This record gives sequence, structure tokens and C-alpha cells, in this order.
Amino acid sequence: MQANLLLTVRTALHRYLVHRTQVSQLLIIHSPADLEQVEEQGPPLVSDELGRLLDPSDVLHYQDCHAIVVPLRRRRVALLVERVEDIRMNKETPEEILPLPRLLAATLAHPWYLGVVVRDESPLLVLDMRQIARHLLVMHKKNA
Amino acid sequence: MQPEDQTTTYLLFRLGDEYYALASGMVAEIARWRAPTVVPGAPPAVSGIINQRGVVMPVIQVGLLLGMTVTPPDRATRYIVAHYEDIHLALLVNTVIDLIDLPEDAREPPPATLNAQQARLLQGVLRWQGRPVSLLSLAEMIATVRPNS
Repeated sequence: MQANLLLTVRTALHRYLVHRTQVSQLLIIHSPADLEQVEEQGPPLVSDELGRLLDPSDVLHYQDCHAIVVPLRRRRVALLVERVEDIRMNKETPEEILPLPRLLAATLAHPWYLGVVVRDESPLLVLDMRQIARHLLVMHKKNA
Repeated sequence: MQPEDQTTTYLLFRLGDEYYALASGMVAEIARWRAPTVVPGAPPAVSGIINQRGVVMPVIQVGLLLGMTVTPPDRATRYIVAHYEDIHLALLVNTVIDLIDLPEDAREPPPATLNAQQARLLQGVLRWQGRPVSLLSLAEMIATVRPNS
């Protein structure tokens, strides 16, 4: 997977990276009604807060947030974040996605990370948005 | 050299008010505390990951593994960057004190008053300046964090 197309996304508490190839749309959401409009324009849409899915204490302030739309086979999943901060397209020196430390990878509750990118000496998690979107769909079906 | 003269070099550090030591051969370096990157879904004893000289490693809250109340980091808080086989990890401790030589023949078993988890993490107890120093087992710490190992 090319690491030169990474979106930096900010939730209320954390910052993550998302691979652009796993995303079909980026939207600005002013109110829940905006999502309803998006739903009318394509395959069924399920939405939830990205931050809270990963960390229950990471609650979004639902005003002018961004939605990252992840396409699955029959549905789309919109994951809401406070902001998509930037899109890096550095073709000359792509950032390397390192695997998670083995000890950590073996203990995780969900396989939701593609790896880690070290940026300004700090590791940033690269999310596997497809895995997260699939999980959300399963949860949505269970609760339906 | 007589067997009773054998000593091992340990890194001495403090967790709360208690003294602990780790065999120096497992210690790569000591690093100042900086906020780790939180990894949602990780076990409670793993407070996140840090990048130390290009190696991304988990941060283990040793105090939490030992059943202690974790205190907020301060100026003395350090990471002990350690390795066991091919696993690198950063151990979060309150203060690093010194490298010391301790006589192996004075090693005592962990006190019977410890609970099973605490006893499992300790290789024994030695004395330094009259104080008990608990010897931590890095292998057991890793096994505790990763229950399936």
C-alpha cells in the first residue's frame, strides 16, 4: 500500500492517519440533516463517530465536523471526525507505514490499525477504515 | 572467585515508595517521559506507543501491572527502554536511581504477602542500603501483557 496518500484526521481527543484509497468522499457536515441528504444520493449510508468507536471517551462536538465516507460492497459508512487536517501527497519521499509493535498487536481488542507512521518523532496510528466500517455495519445490523 | 562473591548489575528505580531493579543487560537506555500516542483497544497496562530512535515500542505501566495506583508523570518520570529477545518496550517508572551491583547469593524469594500476579512478576528480593529491592522479571511482564504468550 502506498503511504504517500495519507489524510490526517483529528477527533476530539486524538489524531490519526487514514489512507486515502480507503475513502470515497470527504464531506463537511453542519448538522445531522446533511447526512440525510448524502444518504439520498447513493447506496445506504450508516454513520457514527470515529473517535467514540475507538475510544468511548472521545466524544465529538457535533458542529461543523467532517465525514469520511468509506465504500463497502453494498453500503457506505460515514465516519465523523472533528476535522480532516491535511492530505499529504509527497510522492518523492513517501512516509513509511511501520507495523505495530508485535507485543501490542497481539493484545488489541480489534484489528483496526494498518500500522504506524512516525511524524515529527511521534508515532501516529494509521487506521484501517475498511475494518472499522465493517465493524460498524455489523454493530448496526445487530442493533437494528 | 568464590560463588558468594558473584554480583549482578541492576538498574535501580522507584515505583511509588518502593524500590525495584531490572538486570542491566536488558536495559538499552533511559529516556525522559513524553506523552505516548494512545492506542485505543490496547490493554490498560499499555499506555500507548513511543518512537525511540526510530523504533516504535509500547509503553508499559509497570506500576499498574503490580496493582499500584498510577500517579501523573512529573519531572522525574522516566522510560526504561528495555528489550527481551526481539521485543522492545518502554517501562514507565517514577524515578531511575542508579546502576548498582547486588550479590546474587543474598537473593530472597518474593514475600508471601504478595498476591499471585505481583509474585509472578518478581524474581526475588535483594537488599540495597537496608531497603528491600524487588527484582522484576521482564519475561513475566511481557507474558502478563500478552496473556496468550
